This record gives sequence, C-alpha cells and structure tokens, in this order.
Amino acid sequence: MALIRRRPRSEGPVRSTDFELIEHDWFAHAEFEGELREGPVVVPLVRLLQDRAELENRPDLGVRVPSDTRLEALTPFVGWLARVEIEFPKFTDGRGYSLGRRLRDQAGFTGELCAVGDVLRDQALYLHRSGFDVLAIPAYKRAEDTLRAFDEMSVQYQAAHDQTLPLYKRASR
Amino acid sequence: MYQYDEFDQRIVDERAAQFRDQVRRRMRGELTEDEFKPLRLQNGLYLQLHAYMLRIAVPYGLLSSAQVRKLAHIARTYDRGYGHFTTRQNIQFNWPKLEDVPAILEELASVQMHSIQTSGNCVRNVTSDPFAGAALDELEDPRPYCEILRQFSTFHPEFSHLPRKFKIAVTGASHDRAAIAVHDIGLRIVRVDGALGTEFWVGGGQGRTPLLAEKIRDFVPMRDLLSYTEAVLRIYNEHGRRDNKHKARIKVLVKEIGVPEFRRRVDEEFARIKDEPGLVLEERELDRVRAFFLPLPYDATATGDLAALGLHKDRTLARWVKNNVLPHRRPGYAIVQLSLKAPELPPGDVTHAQMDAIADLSDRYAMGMVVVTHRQNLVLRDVKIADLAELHTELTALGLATPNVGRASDVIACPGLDYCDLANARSIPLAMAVQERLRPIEEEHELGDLFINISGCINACGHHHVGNIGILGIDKQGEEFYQVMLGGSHTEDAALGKVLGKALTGTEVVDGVERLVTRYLELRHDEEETFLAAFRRVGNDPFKEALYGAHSTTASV
Amino acid sequence: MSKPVPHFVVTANRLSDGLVLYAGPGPSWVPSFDRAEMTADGGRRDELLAWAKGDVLHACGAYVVDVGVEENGEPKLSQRERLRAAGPSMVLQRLHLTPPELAARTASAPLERG
Repeated sequence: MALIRRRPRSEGPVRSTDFELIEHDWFAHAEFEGELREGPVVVPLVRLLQDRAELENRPDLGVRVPSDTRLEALTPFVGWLARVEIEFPKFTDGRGYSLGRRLRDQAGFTGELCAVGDVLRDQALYLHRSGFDVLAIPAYKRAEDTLRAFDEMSVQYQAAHDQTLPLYKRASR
Repeated sequence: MYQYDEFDQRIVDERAAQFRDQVRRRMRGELTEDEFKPLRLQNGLYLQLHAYMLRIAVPYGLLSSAQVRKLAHIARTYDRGYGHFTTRQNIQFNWPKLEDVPAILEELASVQMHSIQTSGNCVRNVTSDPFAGAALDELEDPRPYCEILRQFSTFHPEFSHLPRKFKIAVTGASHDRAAIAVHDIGLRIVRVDGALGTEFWVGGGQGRTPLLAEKIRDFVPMRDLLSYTEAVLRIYNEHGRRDNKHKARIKVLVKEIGVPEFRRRVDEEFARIKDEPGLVLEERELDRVRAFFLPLPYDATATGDLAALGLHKDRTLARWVKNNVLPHRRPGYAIVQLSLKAPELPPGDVTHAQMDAIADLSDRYAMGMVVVTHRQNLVLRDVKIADLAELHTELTALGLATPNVGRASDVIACPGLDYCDLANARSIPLAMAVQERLRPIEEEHELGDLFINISGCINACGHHHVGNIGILGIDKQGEEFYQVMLGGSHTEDAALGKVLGKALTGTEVVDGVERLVTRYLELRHDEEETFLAAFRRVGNDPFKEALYGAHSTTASV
Repeated sequence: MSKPVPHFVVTANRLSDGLVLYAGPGPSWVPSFDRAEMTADGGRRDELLAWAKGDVLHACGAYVVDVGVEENGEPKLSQRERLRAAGPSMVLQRLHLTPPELAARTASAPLERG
C-alpha cells in the first residue's frame, strides 16, 4: 500500500515531479464503531451520519464514502472535513469522478480528496483532473509505476477541475 | 477538413507512445491480461475469434486521400491486404499482430489518425451525414460541431468510465442521414430567430432494448452545446445503471425515470454550469473550426445535366448514375457513391489496391476527399458532372461501380461469427447469399429503396432494427438461426422493425427474403411505392404469409 | 439413442497474433483441435485451465470448451467452436479473393446484358 499525493501547486499541466510517494498514510481508518483515537482518522460515511453530533467539527476527520454517494449527503460536512475518500470498487465504476468534481467545484471542498479501491495507473491522470490530490495504490511498486502516468499525456483538450479553461482559451490555436 | 495543430498532433503521438509502452509491458508479463485488456480496448484493439481486430476512428467519416493511402499501406504491410468499413463510419482491420499495433498507431498518427475511444465505456466516434457540405437539403454543415464534440470528449477525465458506451450523431439537413433517432445523443442543427443551435435528442439506441430517442430540448444555442452535453453526460455517469450490462445505456435511464424527470435533472445541472468559462463555446472557437470546412474551390464554370445522364444511351452508365449518384448543391457537381457491395467481396470490405486507386480517383475527380457512410459504402463527394462517365469507367474496372446503393443488394452486415467474439451467427455468408439471390430480381425490376440489414447478434452492429428487412442471428443450442423483422427505418421517420415470426435457418432466410421481395412486387401500387411504404400500407400479414406460408413445417423450430 | 458424453477441451488465443490455440499434450499449446487434449475428467480440465491461464506470456483469454462426444467417437461442437477450429484460412478462402483474383474477376465479368 502506498499513497501518491500531489504537492501544492498552481494550475496547469502536471508532471510526475508534482507528486510524492508516501509509504504510510497519515490517516488511520476507523470501523463502524469503537473508540476513535486521537489524530487524523477516517470514518465510514454511515458512522459520520450516525454520530454527527459528537464528530462535528473534529479537526483532522476524514470520511470514506461509497461510489454511489450523492453530493447532498456530504454538503453539511464539506466546510470542515480534512479528507474525503471516495471508493472505486471496480475501476470501471466511474461515478467517483463526478462526485469528486462536484465536491471540489460545486461544494468548494478544499480538504484532501482521496481515491481508494481499484485505483490503477491508467486512471491516475483522470483522477487528478477530477480534483483528487491523493491516490491510494494497492502496492508500493505499483505506486512508483503509477507516477509515470503523469508524464504520458501532456495536452488536455477540455476543462476540468485542474484546468478551468479549455485548450483554445489557454493556448493560441 | 480539419487539420491538426501541434496540440492535436501531440495527443496522438503521445497516445501511440503510451500504448507502445503498455504492449511492451504486457509482452514481458509485467501486466496481466486483466490489466492489459481495458488498456488495449481504449485503443480500439479487440481480441476476436481468430485474431485481434483494430478499429480506427474516422471522425464523421471524413478521410483525405493521404489518409486512404496510409490505410492501404497498413492493410498491405500489417494486415492481410484489406480493410472493413463499419456502420459507424470507422474502418477495421482484422489481422494485426499485437506487437505491430504500436507501429500502426504511429503510422496513423503521421496522417492525423488514431484509434482513440473506438471501444470502451466512453464517448465514441461522433458520426454525421456522409453528404455534409454537399447535400442539397443541408441547412448547416454539421462537421465543425462534430469536431468540437470530438475534442471535448477525447480523454474527458470525468466521462471515461461511463456505465456503457456512448454514441453521438449530428445532422444539419432536413433529411436525417445520420440516424440521430438511434443514438445516445442525437443533434439536429436548427436556426431559431436567426440564432444557431441544436435540437437535443437523448436515449436512442439499438441492441437488446431498441428505443428511439426522445427530444429533451427544442433549442440549445451553440454557445451552450458543450455545457448541455456535459450536463447530460454527468447525469448519465451518476445515475445510469451499473448493475446490469444490458441495462446500462442512457436509453434505459431515460425510460426508467421518464423524460420529464430526466429533463429536470439535466436542466438543473445545466443551469449550474452553463456560464462556466470552461464550457461556454465561444465564437472564436466556432470560427476556428468552421474555417476548416469552408466551401471548397469549386469550378464556377462547371455544368452538366445529371438527369439527362441518367437517361444516357449507355445503359450501364445510366443505371449507375440513377442509382449511385446524387445531385450536389453546387451546379455542375454531383455526389458519387461507391458501392462496397460487389459480388466478389464481403459487404463493406475494400482491398489495399482498391484503396490506393480510390485515393488517386479522389485526387483527380473529388478534391482529395473520401467519406465513409453508415451503409458501409464510400462517397466521392465533389465530382464534376462532366467527369462522371470517365469516373464510372475507372470505378467499373475496380469493382466499385455496382449500381445498387440503397437498393436491395446493398445489404449491410456486421462481421458476424466469422470474425466477432460476441456473435451468435455468421452474417457475411448470409449477406452474400441474399445479394446473389436478389441481383437477378434487381436487374429485371426497379425495386427502389430497400434497406436490408443483418446483425450476427443482439448488439446490432448491423443495425438490423432499422432495416426495412432486418435479420438477427441467434444461437439455439449451439446452432445458427435467424429472426426476420420488417418495417424498420433509419431516417427522420425512424422506426424499429418488428419480428415476423419464428427463427429460420440461413437457407430458409435466403429463400424467405426472395419471397418477401416478390410479394412486395406483387402488391405495390406502382414503382414509386417503396417496400417500406407498401409494408406500412398493407401491414404484416401479406409478408408473414410470404415468409412462412409455403413452408409452415420447416419454419417450426 | 444415448446422449453425447460431456468432454472438455481448453482453448485460448495466442498472445502475439490471436491465433486459436488448444491445450495439448504436455501440456503445451497446439494450433489444431484434433491434437487438443480432450478429457471427461473435471479435475484434469481444471488443471489444464489453470496451466493455460498461467501461461501469460504466450496466450490469453483461456476458457473451457464443452465437447459432446457421440457413441461413434464424433465430437460435437457449437457452431462458434467449429468456426474457431476451422481457423483463419477458411474465413479468408471463403470470403476473400486475393487482389489479382479480384482484378481478373472484375475485368471479365459482364456488367449488364444488352
């Protein structure tokens, strides 16, 4: 297991050097119930909704949400959550890209947006463009390989979260 | 036609390099087949019955002569000497070696071609009217908007893992030659109070649950083309079914939640994003792309009488003009259709030698361009009427002048079980047998428009649902059988065919189609009444009886 | 009339060019159905399939083909598997002429009578 995290940067095309490889997550992951220890921790969405009163505004709290989550379920928390993890149970389930975009562009979420699950090298650039700044890769070796994905395609036609203008408005064509 | 700038070129070059690396890793075992399969599919590389198949994108069916020559070279060098044109205006090669595909992609990139998004759950080739730019009834050339949608949808990060494939078609004429009614998004360009925009249709499609598209909006201004499309795609990405592959197209979503609710969700999203600078389609981009599709340098002195040519004393020429040649919006010019339905080759196939010859003919007679149609034929779009006789002679020598475009022997067939892993039955031998049986009838009678479509399976790549006669291959206990349906139509009076009765063997189908055509000849009012019109007038029964009546015992399976 | 006895053959496509392959003696890959190892034993079938799936450098898309064997020893295959077994040359011969043949055909074929 490893994480790829994007360093703070401005708009524009990314390279692999904009990302760092991290072996151990700085967030712990809690179950549906049980004691929550100090420090950054991710809880399942169900738990956040259930224990909302006691968790509200806790610093360094993250939530893990299934791929079919609607934005509305998260809007009450967007202002203070430190991380949202969106599950990609199979890489073919592309709902997380739209949820990520909505979290960033519609709800203005500024915390960490993390993709977990069946996250493959081929999706890395799409995830970044959809607003994800952390990718959880199942194996460390794969994570090294995944970084190279960011160097493969240097031109993007359309606007997305990472580039708010389409190509013809960014460059002279 | 559109010319790549440095950005377009870099995209296809980098894509080819990326795939080269992916193939290398697969062949060294660094990628498993499960990991590699989605990657090769995203480059249009399928694994079929006997070999790989590479599907190459031909945006809105438009090819330059240089591109056609390159395709000939690829067929010759990397394949078995021929290519196949598809019902979505693309071209397929059936025998590439895996290790050669990176080189093929590089060769394609050198002529501004690619195989991006010709497979997978993403937005596929945006198709259009093969006569765009030349048709008499054209209100607005649809191709600039196809090109804009192509770029918008290429590697769109949010919509590369849709519930299922997504097909867009655009028409700019009053007669719809792009079949927008059976596409996921179908656009008809219109002008309202002087403003240019599109009618927005959603939810058409063939396959297991054939449905005609619903009109979601009467008018979307051009400025909002991309934001409205993005709204539709986002709603589909979020709400489309992912539990069942056969219920995952947008047509099922529209049907299940109903048009008013679908429209409400799209409009809500559209309202939120319509003014985003990322999506507003500015005039300067419209101008930039339209500039590639300005009227060609036609010869203002060109003249000719197409109608007279159709009555020429050389009856072969006359017949070819009447069947395969159409009037052009420019005086003195004509639209020439090349039939790829000759007796010698499977429908839609072209040899490398033919491709090279077509490229030459295109340069000499047709201003350097060739267009692929949905009926697996080709078009030389801008030919001087004065050159038609000479061109006809050349095409005849190449086997490309069969005078049957839109006629009974212009049978559309998917590759079927001879090639395709998904198929239940073969379609090519059936198509060729039907053609052979109908040819003498065609010679003797004017059959008029008669569209026969054959699909080897429910995926309907042969578009059998919209054939006047549609034939669907099915598998019964490991053997090939065929269902026959009547009354489909692919134009603006779109309709889906209805199955006539029990499935038949291939031989029975050939006999049966002959009897259907004979029955049509018997009961039509006159030569002007097409097969479809006659069917709509008299209904199922006379045709059902023709198909099954004489062989009621053999028809029972 | 007895039902055919179910047998199994393992098949795949050659990675390099997609040619149809069958698991044969060894096991090893053979290009023709006649030389494929046919077994009625489910365990052996699973062994062959595992071997086939494991040979990632040479083959892909491995699966089991059901073969019904008649009393007289005739194997019964679905149409799909018959076509696969027949191989690409059948497709090409049946459907395609070579360019020289095509040229000869079109040069001499009568176009229309009278």
